[in-house]
Amino acid sequence: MHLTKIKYLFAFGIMLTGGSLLAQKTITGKITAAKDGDVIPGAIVIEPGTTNGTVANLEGAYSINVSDTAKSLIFQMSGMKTDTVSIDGRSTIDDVMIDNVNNLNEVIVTALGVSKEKKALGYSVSEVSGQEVANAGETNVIESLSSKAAGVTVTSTGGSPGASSKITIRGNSTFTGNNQPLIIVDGVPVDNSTTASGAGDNPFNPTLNGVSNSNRALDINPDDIESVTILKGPAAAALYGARAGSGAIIYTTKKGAYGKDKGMGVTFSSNVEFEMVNKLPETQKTYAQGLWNDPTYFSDSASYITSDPGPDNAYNTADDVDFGTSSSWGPKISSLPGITYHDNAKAFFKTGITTNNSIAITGGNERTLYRFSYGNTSQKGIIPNSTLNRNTFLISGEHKVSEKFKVGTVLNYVNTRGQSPQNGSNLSGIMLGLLRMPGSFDINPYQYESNGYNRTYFGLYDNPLFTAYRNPYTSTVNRVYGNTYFMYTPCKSFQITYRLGSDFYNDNRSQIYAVSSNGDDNTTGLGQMNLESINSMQIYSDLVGTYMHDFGENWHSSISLGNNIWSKSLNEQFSRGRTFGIPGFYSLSNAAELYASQYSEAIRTVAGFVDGTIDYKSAIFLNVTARNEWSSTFNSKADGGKDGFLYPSVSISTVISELVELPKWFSFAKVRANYAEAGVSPEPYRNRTYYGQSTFTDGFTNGNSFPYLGQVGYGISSILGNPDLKPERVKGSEVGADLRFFGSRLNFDFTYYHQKTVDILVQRPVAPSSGFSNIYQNSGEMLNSGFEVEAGGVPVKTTNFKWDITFNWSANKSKVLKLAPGVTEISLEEGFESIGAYAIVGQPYGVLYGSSWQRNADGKLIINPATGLPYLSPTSVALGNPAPKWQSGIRNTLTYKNLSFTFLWDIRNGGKIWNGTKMRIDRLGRGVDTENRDQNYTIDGVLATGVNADGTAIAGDQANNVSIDAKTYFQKYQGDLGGATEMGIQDAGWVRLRDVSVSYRYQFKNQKYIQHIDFTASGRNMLLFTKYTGVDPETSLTGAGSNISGFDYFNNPGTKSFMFGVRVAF
Amino acid sequence: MKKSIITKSGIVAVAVAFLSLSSCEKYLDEVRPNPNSPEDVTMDNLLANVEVATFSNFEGNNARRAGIFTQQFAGTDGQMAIIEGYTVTEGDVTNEWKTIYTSALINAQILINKAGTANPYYRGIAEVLKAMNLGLATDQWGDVPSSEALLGDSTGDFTPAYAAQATVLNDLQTLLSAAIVDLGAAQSANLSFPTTSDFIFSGDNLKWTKIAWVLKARYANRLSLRSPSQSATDVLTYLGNANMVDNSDDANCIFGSNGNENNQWFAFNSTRAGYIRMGKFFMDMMNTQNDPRVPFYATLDDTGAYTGSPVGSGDITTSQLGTYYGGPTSIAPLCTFVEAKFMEAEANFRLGNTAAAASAQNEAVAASILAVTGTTNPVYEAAHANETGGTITLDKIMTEKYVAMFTQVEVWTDWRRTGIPNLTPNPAGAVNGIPRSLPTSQDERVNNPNAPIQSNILNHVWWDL
Repeated sequence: MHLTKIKYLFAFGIMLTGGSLLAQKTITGKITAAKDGDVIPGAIVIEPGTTNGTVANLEGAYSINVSDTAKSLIFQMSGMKTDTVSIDGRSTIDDVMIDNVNNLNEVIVTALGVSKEKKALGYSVSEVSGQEVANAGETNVIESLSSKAAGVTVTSTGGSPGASSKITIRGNSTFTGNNQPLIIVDGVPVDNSTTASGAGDNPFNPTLNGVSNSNRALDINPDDIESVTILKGPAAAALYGARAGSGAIIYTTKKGAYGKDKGMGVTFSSNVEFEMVNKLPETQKTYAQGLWNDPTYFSDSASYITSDPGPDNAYNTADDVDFGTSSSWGPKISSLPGITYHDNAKAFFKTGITTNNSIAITGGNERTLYRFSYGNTSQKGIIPNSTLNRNTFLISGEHKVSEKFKVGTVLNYVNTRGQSPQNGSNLSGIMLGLLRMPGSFDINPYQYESNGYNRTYFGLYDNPLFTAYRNPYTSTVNRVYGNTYFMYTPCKSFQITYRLGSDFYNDNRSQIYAVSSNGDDNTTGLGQMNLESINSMQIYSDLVGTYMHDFGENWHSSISLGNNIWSKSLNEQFSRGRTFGIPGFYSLSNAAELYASQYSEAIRTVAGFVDGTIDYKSAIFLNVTARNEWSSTFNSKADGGKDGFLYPSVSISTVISELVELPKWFSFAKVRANYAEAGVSPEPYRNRTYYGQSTFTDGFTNGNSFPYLGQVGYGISSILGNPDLKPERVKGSEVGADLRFFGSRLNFDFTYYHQKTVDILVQRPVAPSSGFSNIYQNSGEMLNSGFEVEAGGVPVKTTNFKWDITFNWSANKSKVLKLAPGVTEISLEEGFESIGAYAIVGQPYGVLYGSSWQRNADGKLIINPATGLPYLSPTSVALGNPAPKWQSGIRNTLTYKNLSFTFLWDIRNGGKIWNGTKMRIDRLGRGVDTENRDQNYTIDGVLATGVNADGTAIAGDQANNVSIDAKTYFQKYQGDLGGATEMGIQDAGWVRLRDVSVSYRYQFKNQKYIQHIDFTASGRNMLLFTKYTGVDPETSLTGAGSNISGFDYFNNPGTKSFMFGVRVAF
Repeated sequence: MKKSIITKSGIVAVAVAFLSLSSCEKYLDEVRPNPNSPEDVTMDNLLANVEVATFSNFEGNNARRAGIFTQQFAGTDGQMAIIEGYTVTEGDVTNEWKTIYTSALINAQILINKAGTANPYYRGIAEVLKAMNLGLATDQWGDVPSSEALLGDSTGDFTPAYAAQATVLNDLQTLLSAAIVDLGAAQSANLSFPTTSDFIFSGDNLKWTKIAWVLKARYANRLSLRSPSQSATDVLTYLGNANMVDNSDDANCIFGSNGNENNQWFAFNSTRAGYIRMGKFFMDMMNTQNDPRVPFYATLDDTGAYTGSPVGSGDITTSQLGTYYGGPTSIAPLCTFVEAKFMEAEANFRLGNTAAAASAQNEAVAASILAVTGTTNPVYEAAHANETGGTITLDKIMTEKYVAMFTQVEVWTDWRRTGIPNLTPNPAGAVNGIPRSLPTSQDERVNNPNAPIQSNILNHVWWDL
């Protein structure tokens, strides 16, 4: 079918040649492709403004006679961007053509690494080029996708080196399971998990505190990426199985190219990036540390409090003078002799510096191609002592053993080391210690000179500088992943491919809490060290046979039969030492108390699938797939379980422009529709009820756990297992159209999807008085539906100047339809006491859930006349949806000759964040609002006339006239000392200039060794407009390893950066 | 040519399908067992688990809340300040509710079933522990699931009906009677005995029997307002059977020196420094009486004195919990000789046996001084453990009990029954008065249509007339 097109073009070219009667001058040259240097037979060369033209021969050479007045030549080729080249008196003009991403016959990489014509696809895909990934200036290839494609939502955890980025496509498809797409690199799934550290006896959700762990796609070098294909919806699942139920992201790395005389190409690139905090919550600058117990304290310098641990520099010892206070409700700093205001945040954050260096060697001959690359990323973050150092080695090659048999391999070795800062709800937390730090306290020095103990303003918190330097968390990952494949093509119509992939890594982690730090589990200040070793191994294998057959001239078909096997095992070993004998010597041998725990998990799936396509005249395509999968996470057949499940898909694509004659300006029209199902198997070990080692806590301490006084204790799991589990089913249908006008200078792609997930595995909560808190069962239902638009245009195009616009917009609406009989709300994961993330029937997924104020029928607050404060509602309610209403990315690219300027606007509309940080710093008298404390406040509302038996207030008519002092107002109304959680809910929408870059290519002419040098200067997050009063609203406390979104509780801030780079091609 | 390829491909496809189907089950079965958690455990595992869960329930937030409500403590920061402001929402109590039912009670029930008739000591101890925890639930929440509770895994009843508190109190008596029978079995009637897995009494069935009787007395005494004289008679009968001799008969929570074994008052005061201080009312009362227990109950404040923070002040410059109850390995009382003696005094007083009441009172106070300070204190005892039939009053009994039972949830229960000592509620409290019950736990409100929804914390439980 591709051949047909070429024949057609030949004919077109010959016709043009027939018109070249006025030619007076001959120009010859050779046309090659930029991507692999291969010649382009069949390319068309046209003299502009005439019908004169010619076609390149099989060697890519052309010869054309043009008139004397001709100033330029136009080179055209299907699949390539059209070039206009000025003649400048030359008689030899070689042209290097580049791929056109908007091309009609564009080929893209789909599931199993199979390249398909985009027009044949009955489902929506988005593509992001390797260039876009590189331009984003992100170290994490997940973050690089942010705002680049419709329907894709990326949320970073914050600006700390290595912190995870979470990605979802078309919202969330399940409640408590994995909602992130499957990540594929060169045809094989790779691990992108974000594993939180945790001891076996840790009773809490580890994502709420500690460090922000990395998602393991961090190990991919962005410079190796040739292209990214995003498969949305469950359509990809037939080939990759259950784990692609939330979509798939396919990274393809750069490769060498076959060809005679290819020689060896070397590319070297280097850049340096300077990173700064882009946004911080504002704090007051006037008032000192202290407790304002009565208003007379207000200007009384005696009410100033600060901590003093006494001569031993340790708290909770007999010589303590003052423990200090977390509050800044003290007197004016100006009233205190010898004390001045300190901008501690300014003193704390640094300019981060990242350098990226990479070298790639590519080459090939007629039978072999290869590529080797080495990349190094070395990052020093904005938080002192936070680092990331990544070394990636990639070697790929392919060899044609014979015309029929090809073998290839891709092998990656990665070493990623980093030191991460403490985050979140954590007595050693960076932002917790920093934002609560009174303006009257100087962050420096952070430790006492005599014994190196933590110097702080409140005996319970660590000085953030002390944490940064003395409480290091380090992670060292060694990872090998890749695959080997064999492709046997005995004849044109039949091919067998076998591919074996593996992904192995070891993550060695260490967390030290120095003596005198409060970060240790029990806040004893005696020192603690956690060591953790995570070993993960995945093996993937697929065997696919494809047979193609044409039924006459117009009907083409292909069918693939395949099998794939996937196995994953995970082993985590944790050991902990507490109470160091020798301060500063960090070894388990130096610990007075030791503990160890382990966790292992193994999952295997086996599947058979069929994938058949039939097309009519390359214009109507029908594709049907079916997959039957068996998973080890169901009860075994021997135990009466049913562990196999089948799921189908069907899609149709019709290229209308190939079937009917459209007006000339209407270049291309395609409509598509599909229905696909994906089955998602349960998490392992949910088919039975086990006993577990319990940890008993009331939520305030780490509690009591086993081994206890030399005894082993087991209690029954509070979550009942279920032998009758079924797979969850994601049922997605989608319609779309791809329309292009004026020779593709304007194009639109619309998609509407409707995706329902049924039989969702729910940890259905039950009344604890039944003896159990949850049962695992298939009972949930959720709907996601939405629109996606991707568009592009070229408003201006002249010989030397071009303006490109690409645009994407998407809106997803999610709605929880059903949870379980009698259950209308469930918690997704453990949150805080004041806020949770819930699935509530009738509400969007993951709504923020917490306390609210009582209001009268007009929505006015009902005020307690005795206290002047509103009443809390007796029950918690949904407070907001953290998902955006819609999001959009708009890129403009202006190119003048070799100079190009591009910028990307990123818009997210709506979406709520719980700004727990603000509530707490207001309560502590640190928030900027609390500057206005020399006045009383009267909350807008109506006075209550009484309270019903159920705790609900009876609203009266009289407007509230009870005035309260500022401390009460900021603590109990605006702050979280009894204030409703709703006070912290804020709009997280933004408009940001996500990236802007200027680049210039200097092309060497007639140079033997050096081809070109690219210079780039770019900026990331240079502008940010948002109503959010906290850190950059692209933030997530819980990170990519969690289904919670929208929590900000002393999250580390985001960053903006400037980058300068150079790339040399030899 | 073409045909042979079709044949070949057919063979491959069939082979693939065959391979995957036949060896598939075996391949999957290999990884099905859970390497992390057992499907069955021993009675010792369960007993250790239930006891530590019980420690958690009788310390932790239940005890802190009771202590703040009764002004033994001041909630000076964080969630403790919120409790002192009398805001207790349905979400604040889910942890405690859950630990009682899904950690302590269910495992006690599993142990009862597992022990069966062949292991009556295990069963008896489990019954006593079950009664303690169910008693704690009904004291704080009033009507709670009792006989219909804990059936999730056996009958699939996930929405247990709530029993009226009167019924729950009856169930407790029945359960404790059964425990007494089990614990009274001959040693030879047991296939196996608990030893080291019983942290409280190392399997001593006679001591457990005493505690069962004292608990029967505790729950009989709950009816002091509903049925003053019968309850008093029952209390005295049960205490007579208990025959508590001295402090060595006490059932205490036992803690260890490792971080995960620590006393939870200690753990809380480390992790949540500044959240709790001694209460002004309590410290003033003890200071006025020159109580020798003060240096054991409290630490010195920043100025070297023993002081407490006023309600609602947020003042953290005052004394903290002292080492007797607040050290890493300090005990926490569950059911003691001292409590038994105070109940004996109260019951006798109610029946008009003032002389007997006075003598029990004197024993109780002396025993408390001895337990806490390690020695007798003739001066204090001359003033406060020297009552006679003519001088004894209910106020004296309950006030001394208030001091002696420091840190225990029983203090809140006693205050609700008797109103002694006379406390002034936090004037800035979210509700107008000291709370008298806890709101229905959120997970019960949401998941159990049989749960009576109760969010008014001023509500009286049934025994609290």
